[in-house]
Amino acid sequence: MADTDQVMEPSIDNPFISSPALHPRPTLQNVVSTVNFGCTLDLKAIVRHARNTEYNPKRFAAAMMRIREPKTTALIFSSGKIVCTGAKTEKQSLTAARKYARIIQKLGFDITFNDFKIQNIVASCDVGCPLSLVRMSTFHGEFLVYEPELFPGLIYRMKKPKVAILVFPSGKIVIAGAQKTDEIFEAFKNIYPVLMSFRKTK
Amino acid sequence: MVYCNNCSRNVTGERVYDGPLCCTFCGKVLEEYNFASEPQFVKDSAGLSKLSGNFVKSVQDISDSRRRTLDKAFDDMRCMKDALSIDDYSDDVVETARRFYEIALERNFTRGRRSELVQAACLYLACRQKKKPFLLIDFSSYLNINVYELGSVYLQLCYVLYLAETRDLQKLIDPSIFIHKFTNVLIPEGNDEVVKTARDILASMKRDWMQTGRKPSGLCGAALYISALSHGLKCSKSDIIRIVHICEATLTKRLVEFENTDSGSLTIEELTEKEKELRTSSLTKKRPNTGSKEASIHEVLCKHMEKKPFAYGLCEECYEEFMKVSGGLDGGSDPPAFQRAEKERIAKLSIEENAKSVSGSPFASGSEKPENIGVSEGATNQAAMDERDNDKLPGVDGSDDESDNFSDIDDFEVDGYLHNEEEKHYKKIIWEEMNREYLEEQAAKEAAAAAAKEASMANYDKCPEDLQAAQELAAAAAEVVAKSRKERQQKRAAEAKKAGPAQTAAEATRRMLDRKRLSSKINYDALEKLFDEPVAPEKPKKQRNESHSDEKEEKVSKMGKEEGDLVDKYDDDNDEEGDEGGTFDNNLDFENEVYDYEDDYEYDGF
Repeated sequence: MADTDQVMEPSIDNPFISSPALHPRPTLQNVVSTVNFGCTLDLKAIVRHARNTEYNPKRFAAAMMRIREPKTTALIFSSGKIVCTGAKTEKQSLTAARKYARIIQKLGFDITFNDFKIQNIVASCDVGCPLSLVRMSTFHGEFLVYEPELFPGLIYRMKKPKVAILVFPSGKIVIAGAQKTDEIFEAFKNIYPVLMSFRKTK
Repeated sequence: MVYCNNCSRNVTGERVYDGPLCCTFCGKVLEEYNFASEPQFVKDSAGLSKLSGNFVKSVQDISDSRRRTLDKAFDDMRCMKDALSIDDYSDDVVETARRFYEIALERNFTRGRRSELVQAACLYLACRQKKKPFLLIDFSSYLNINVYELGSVYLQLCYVLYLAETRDLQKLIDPSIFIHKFTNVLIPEGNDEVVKTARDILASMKRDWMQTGRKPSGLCGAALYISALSHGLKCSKSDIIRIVHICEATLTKRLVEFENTDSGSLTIEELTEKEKELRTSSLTKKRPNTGSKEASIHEVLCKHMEKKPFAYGLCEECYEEFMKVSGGLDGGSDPPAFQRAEKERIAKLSIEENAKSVSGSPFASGSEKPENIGVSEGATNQAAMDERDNDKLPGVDGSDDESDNFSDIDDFEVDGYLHNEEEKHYKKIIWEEMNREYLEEQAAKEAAAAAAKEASMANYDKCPEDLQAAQELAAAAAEVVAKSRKERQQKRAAEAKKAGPAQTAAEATRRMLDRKRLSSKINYDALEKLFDEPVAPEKPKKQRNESHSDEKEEKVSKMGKEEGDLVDKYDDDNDEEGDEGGTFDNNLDFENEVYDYEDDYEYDGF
């Protein structure tokens, strides 16, 4: 019911997002899903008949199709399997996948919409205060990797729900690897107090 | 430990030159056995000489090839160490690295990875442990591989060696260790002052949180640059870049960031003074002010399990180290990354506020997203779509009913994505033009395949007989090769069952001989003659575990072993044995010898 694309609760009397009293919410950035159309597809025919498709067999074995609404890209393989990326919510991903199915159907292939599965959901969030990666790495060494030589952020792998969280010193974090939106929020709920305890004290 | 009467105590005896065992204190001879360490030979029952003793698995328990692998790895690591001049005086680092490599070998970490990558990762890990100032980039430039590739191998190695779980808390690199090394490269002599100032600058950078998320080399480069310039030494940015492995843009950025901090405006003397003060004040070892949450931490998070937590959940030693490496957690300015982000946030906020005040109430109450003001159309479309989706929310199962007709999807829109006839035509031309090489390759491949097939077909038509003969041969060969013993046995059993009981005694014996594979030793004429005689006498009682075997079979088999002439003699023997058991044993051995041709004595099918 609640729209998950928001950054914060709608309210006029707290304009300062960076105030720590307010509990920010993660924004979904990308949802990746796969679906099986159940029949072999002729990619050459598809690229010839569809406007929004590109197919370069020497570079990659799949055709790339894009639609405007929801703004997504699909990789179409000749086996009949599709990867749909770029949607902002799970529902949008489903709609987009079905749109692709309809397009392919109109091109004359006999398809069925099988095994639609969300593979990955990525969200970002801003906790609003600088975080000490050094301190975090001293504490929770089991779950995290912090190699400043390799990557400026700290990678925290949460076991339950199984997600990876990238933490940056600016206070922004990225949560990725979830299969459901609830997992994202659960992960954020788990990590928020941890992050808060590691913020830079003034 | 042996007991010595003289000393009236247990002593560890001493054995000199493999001679008698003597007491270590008084020298009394305790045991007089002499040991010889040369190989001894004994004669076994048949009279052959054999080496005495047993073969025992060696204590080391490493196979030859593994030892070779380890030695090769050790040599390679030593070469690497020399090339990077890690440690000129001792093999310490390489020893540690070698031990890591051994563990990695045992855990099959080297499979599927280039051995030099694994060696470099082990060596890098050893350097980290010993706090040697070497970067991953140094190793990757020596090996000419992507630093991120080496980095991923290194991380996987840490995981395999359980470094995370043993709370070893891979110490973060302290950038200060690099200062000495880099300064030596830049200014070979008389660089103490520069080193000191650079250290101070670095310490203040750490306090100002410039360090988090940054490569240590960048900070070192900036600190060194400032310090060198402030001491009047002429060094350009390109010198620093060459030594420190960063690019000019990064160096400039670090310098700008440092300028923005408080310490950036101080002069060198002021900076040095300030640092000295801080160093002396920290010697009082004041406990930092931590929040109430942390008071509940009773055990330490570092590996020193037996010590009490001093601060931040670390024991005192680790706390000191932590402060040195990271510059502490209190005070200082915000990290530059945060400063940038904060600016963005404020900018965004001001835009929103402006937009809000302009658009007024209707939008704020209707659409919940102030960001969509610029894309109002998209917002309404999306809201409508979301509603539709909401109605069909139950998930994929619910929508399976419509999955095949997709009636909920806007046909008009879908049609918009498809070409009309003219476009199709042109698109075809364009695509084929663009991918011409690929199409040509495909055509060539297909042509080659077709030609090959045709050739084989043509061959087949030309010489059917030869081909058939060849096929038969192949089939026969395949048959022989593919058959295992079991298959053969099963086949035999099947055939025997199929054939039914033997019609004559002669046939029965022949079958048995076929099975026992004695056929080459049989005189078939004698066999025929045998069955013309009257029935043979009672056979002796059998020791073997057969339920049904013909007496004649037995006789014939014995005959089969030797010449046919011995039959009569044997009959006599058998007659006698019926009464006595004396000579039976010899007979028995003979029986067993005969039937030793096959391992299993199954008489299946008979």
